[in-house]
Amino acid sequence: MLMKTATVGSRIGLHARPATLLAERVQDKGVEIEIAKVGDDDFVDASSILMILSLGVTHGDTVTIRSSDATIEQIEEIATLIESDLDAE
Amino acid sequence: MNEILEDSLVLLDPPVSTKNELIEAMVNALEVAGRVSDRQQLLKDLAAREEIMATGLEGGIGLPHARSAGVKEASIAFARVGAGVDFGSADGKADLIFMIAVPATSEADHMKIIASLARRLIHDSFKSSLRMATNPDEIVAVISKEVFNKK
Repeated sequence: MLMKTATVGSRIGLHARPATLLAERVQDKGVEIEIAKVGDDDFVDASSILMILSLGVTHGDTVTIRSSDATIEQIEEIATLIESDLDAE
Repeated sequence: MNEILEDSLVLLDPPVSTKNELIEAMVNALEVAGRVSDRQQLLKDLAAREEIMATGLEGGIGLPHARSAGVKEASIAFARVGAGVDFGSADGKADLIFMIAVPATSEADHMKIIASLARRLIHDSFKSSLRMATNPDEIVAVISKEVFNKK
């Protein structure tokens, strides 16, 4: 199991467009990736917009990304995505 | 302060066929309930949000929402449209639509409402209760209990 943390860079948090972009990127990878808010440790499927929204993650929150079948590069790519300001793209 | 949701904000099979017609019907309901100070502003803010990215979610859900200077108090309007309305989700039309309208000043509320709602929407039992309810009373009861832990 690989894990990595990332601090949410989007001003509005993982919500709306950032949540959608994240879910789409995870779907593209074809691997199982889960995320949780640090402190809650309630991991959800990161390929589902609904699941991501349910975390209620706001700007500056730290999330943990984990996967049992993704490569470290894939996890790092997802972490970079979470840390960027997806709303500004 | 009023409850966030009330019977008059529940629309069951309103006579609409497009997303914009539905959004307008839901805004009308909010306005009649005295929750809107500037209808045009709210419609504009909702449209701006849909423009960024459509708010359809997997499983037949539409989630139009806005923080808007045209809203007086945090409100949820709900619509059930048997025939479905296209909210841009890849898996098809939405038949359960939640409109979240909050004043421009309450960003935290907005996020909290959406997260709580999403947590319930993951469960099929919540969605099937809403699909099977026969009147607005039941819908309000289901949402209040499941999303806001109220009896």
